[in-house]
Amino acid sequence: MINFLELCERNQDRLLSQFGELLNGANSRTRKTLVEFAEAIKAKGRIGVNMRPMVLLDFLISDRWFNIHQWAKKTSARGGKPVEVILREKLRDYFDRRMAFDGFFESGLEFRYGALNIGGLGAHCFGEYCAILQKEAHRSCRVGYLKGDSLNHYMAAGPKVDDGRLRVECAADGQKDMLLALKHASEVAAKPPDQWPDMICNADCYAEAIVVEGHVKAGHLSCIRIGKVDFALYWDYAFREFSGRLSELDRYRVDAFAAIDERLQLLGVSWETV
Amino acid sequence: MLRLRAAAWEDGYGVVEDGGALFLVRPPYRKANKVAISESDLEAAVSKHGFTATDQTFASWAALIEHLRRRFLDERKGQVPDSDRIKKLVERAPTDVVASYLDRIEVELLPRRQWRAANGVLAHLLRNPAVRQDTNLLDRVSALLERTELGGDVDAPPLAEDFPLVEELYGRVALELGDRIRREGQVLPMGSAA
Repeated sequence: MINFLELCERNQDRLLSQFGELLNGANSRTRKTLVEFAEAIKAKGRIGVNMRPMVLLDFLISDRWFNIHQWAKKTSARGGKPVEVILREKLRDYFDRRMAFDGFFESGLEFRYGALNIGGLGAHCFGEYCAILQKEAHRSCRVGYLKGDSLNHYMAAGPKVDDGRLRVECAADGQKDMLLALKHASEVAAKPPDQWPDMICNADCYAEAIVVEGHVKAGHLSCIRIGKVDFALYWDYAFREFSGRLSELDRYRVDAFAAIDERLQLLGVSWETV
Repeated sequence: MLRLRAAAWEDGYGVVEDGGALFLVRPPYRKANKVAISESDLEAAVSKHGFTATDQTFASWAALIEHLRRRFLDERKGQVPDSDRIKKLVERAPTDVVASYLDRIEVELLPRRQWRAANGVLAHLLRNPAVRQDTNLLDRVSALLERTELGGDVDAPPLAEDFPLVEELYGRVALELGDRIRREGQVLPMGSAA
């Protein structure tokens, strides 16, 4: 079995040399922008996880961020159905690829998947709330990065892991800036810095952050990002609750928002609207 | 024909195939909540974000959304929304939201004689630190509270919000009948007596 973090560490020299070559081959203006971009990644880069309302609420209540295997185990303990049956029912056609990727690595069933985020809403189609972890979380758990989505970019027919590609497109926490600079080298100079957050992390393109070891707890949250429109809508719902004009579905949704807000306040975690 | 390929029932999210294209839809099911996604996004939704793979067909978007709504409500069955918790949100509203609430009380609630609703919002706003620390906001809240107290205890029936001229034209009984029909459906006898 392969140790993902060791792979990331082993790729350090390659990334250093490729990043050096990139800078040497660029004109002075592009070089300056690339260095600024890499510094922005280093300074602002955090693990972001897009969560749906009930997923975020569950995380805040249980103080644990569960992956699909841990969720299946929990479900199995409650209902008695075997874990594999639960996973097959949930994943259907995607079961084999998920198992092939996670099973390829040591502790792969413990992996939790997020994305590198420097300020945007992330892949918000998967969840309207983007939970951003503090820098301290990067120290209390061990994390490695992939240039792209694990299942989309590093799976070959079989299904099996395309480890040749994966070995050269992974990075440890200390080299994530170089991995991202190499990935976005052709676009960085053409985009103003305020567009970098959306460029590096959106629904179609992100660098995957894989938490390999350690517990990620609610206390590790730095902020919750949410779209301005969604945020305004929840406050509108709260207002309309007083005149009894909300649908049942909207009442459930704003109740979840209220429960999330209550817990965030206790934790001292703020909202950021984007 | 629409195919529901995956769903997160407890949150009302769904991945829908429509004529070969994939869309992710979520509450409140407005245009902005329908986003085109790729096949690999669908895989990520199921494999990483806890969606459940499914395969159901629907004749129309309306039928599909109704199904997502119903499943959402089924999932939450047994946990009634906590009205007190929702109302307490107002006590933590940020300053810009507080200002918009005060505007809405003046423009929407008071002209429609929604005294109790206005009073409820204002009472919670009095506990909001943003209000307590801002004399302008506090003055506005106090002034509005005086107006709601003059209004009395009983709100105009909710229908008056949507049709403010009904009472003036047809009397209060028309409003009350309208509200009853809205709540209970058919309330007048149907068909002829035997």
